[in-house]
Amino acid sequence: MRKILISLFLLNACASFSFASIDLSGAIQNDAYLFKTTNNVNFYDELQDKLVFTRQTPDWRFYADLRVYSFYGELPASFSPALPVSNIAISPGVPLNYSFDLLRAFIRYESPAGVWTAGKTYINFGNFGIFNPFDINKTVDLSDLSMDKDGILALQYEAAFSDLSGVKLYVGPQGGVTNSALGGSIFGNIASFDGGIVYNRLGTDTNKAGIYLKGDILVGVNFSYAYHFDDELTNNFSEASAGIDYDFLDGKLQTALTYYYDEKGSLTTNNYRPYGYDDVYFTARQYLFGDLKYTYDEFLSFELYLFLNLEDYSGVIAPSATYTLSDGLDLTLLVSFVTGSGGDEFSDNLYQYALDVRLTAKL
Amino acid sequence: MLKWIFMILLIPAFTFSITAEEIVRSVDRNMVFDNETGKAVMIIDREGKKMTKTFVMYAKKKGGGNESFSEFTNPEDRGTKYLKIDNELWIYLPDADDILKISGHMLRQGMMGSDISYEDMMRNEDMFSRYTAVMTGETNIDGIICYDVTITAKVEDVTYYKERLLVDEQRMVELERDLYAKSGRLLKVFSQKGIKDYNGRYYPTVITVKDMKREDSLTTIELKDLDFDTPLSQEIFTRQNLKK
Repeated sequence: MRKILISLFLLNACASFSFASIDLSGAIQNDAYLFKTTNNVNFYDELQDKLVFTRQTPDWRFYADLRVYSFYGELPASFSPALPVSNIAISPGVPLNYSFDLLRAFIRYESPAGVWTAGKTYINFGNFGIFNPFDINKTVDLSDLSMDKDGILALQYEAAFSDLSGVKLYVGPQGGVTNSALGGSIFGNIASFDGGIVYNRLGTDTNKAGIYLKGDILVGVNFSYAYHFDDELTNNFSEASAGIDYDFLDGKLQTALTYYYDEKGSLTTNNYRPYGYDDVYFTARQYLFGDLKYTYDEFLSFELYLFLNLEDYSGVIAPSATYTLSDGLDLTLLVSFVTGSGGDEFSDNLYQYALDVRLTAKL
Repeated sequence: MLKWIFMILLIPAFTFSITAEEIVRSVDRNMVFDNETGKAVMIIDREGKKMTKTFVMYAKKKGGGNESFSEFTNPEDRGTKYLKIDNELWIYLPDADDILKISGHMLRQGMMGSDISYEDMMRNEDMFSRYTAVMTGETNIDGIICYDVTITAKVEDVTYYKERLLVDEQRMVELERDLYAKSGRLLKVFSQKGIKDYNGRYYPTVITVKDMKREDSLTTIELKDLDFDTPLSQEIFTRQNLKK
């Protein structure tokens, strides 16, 4: 009750609070989770207030995305912090009542020479979506792919060569000059294909360079390749993804399939590394991601996605349904099942199944 | 007697003193623009349940192609922007601060879940050069006499193979447009009302779209503050403008 009152207070303040042309918008989202593990059933409730502050002028923009979380219950002890619920580092089994997170806060200035962004922001390279080798934050919430990620502190510069091409550069201080992140991308559009080349250094001994493409050859296609290397060029490996997408039933049924390859990934279960050990997704060498979306009508839609480890054939299957109760008010039911025989990646580290009942109101 | 028969046979020719091609050209003059800005309210109505979206839009012709840019302003979608250049579409997602290129096949999808597709919304091609036209008669819509014209595609690169246009005889603007697939199946019906005069250009301000494949579904678009005369900067129709 108390967390609901606090949320309502914040949202009421959000609705009435406006000064110096700063707009305040946001959302309130409640997730009621049920996790079934081998030995236990855990209930966990999370109430999330999203407060977005913006100010837009013709030349510059201020944007801040503050999240206020309140919790009840416990996550399963086996739940890996590398696969967080709503992006917060939660110690498994330790109840937290409240938490704050400033996902992003930046100022974007458009100068005649280009666009500058300073603050906590997303640095996006490559193709949008899952299994993007150039993603800076490769954390994935397997029970909910819509999770918003944390930005990084950075100074970013973008300049256009033409309507659809340009260059993007950034530096991200990380305590020391040599350990700081920096990178850049040159991107463009040729023959209806978007593409680019990327170099990104996430810190000492963590470099990658590569290319990406997205376009149409009868169906939608995308491809990304990144070559990872250390500063001495002694520890190198490849990471790649390739995907296709198409829709049926006049766009009501959308399908997408993505293959992911990590050369350094393990071929056998006993060699699996912890998540986040390298700048890659998960731990095995090959994965497949499938996604089906069916839009019944404007108010009701269904989705089913699948992560499959192609080495041990464990996987996560997640069907969901979203119903719009009213303008801006959605009810979502997400279920995720873990498959596998035990002793493999997903069935070892996660849960047997998770159920999430979500109510989202956008302001 | 023969004289009377001859005169009766001539009546239709005198009645339609304008040809189907001329009608189509006149409609093109009203509906096809070099520049357009405006605001829109889109109301999606399904079995009595309504959803409202608002957006601002900019469109222009560039060379032989079309470019459009729109930004949603309603709370649920605020900051979502679309850039369409010919048959390519990019979406800016504010929650990800990233730009997503939409695959070509997805242009047929309903925009923001509505009955109107991305292609429909951003359509600005002349019919005269792409369709052959045949006049089939006259009809009456709410007391307004309309030419009944059927146009059939003569090029491959069109969204709809055949269209039936009911064109206001006085203002030369379509009051109804029925869109057909090559199979002859009726796909969508556009009804256009609130015709206003913009410096000699007649243009509808209320467009209702019925997707015939969906039951009890209707999308209404109300256009406001339309301006066809102010030249638009090319900077609007850029990838960089999506992230502003």
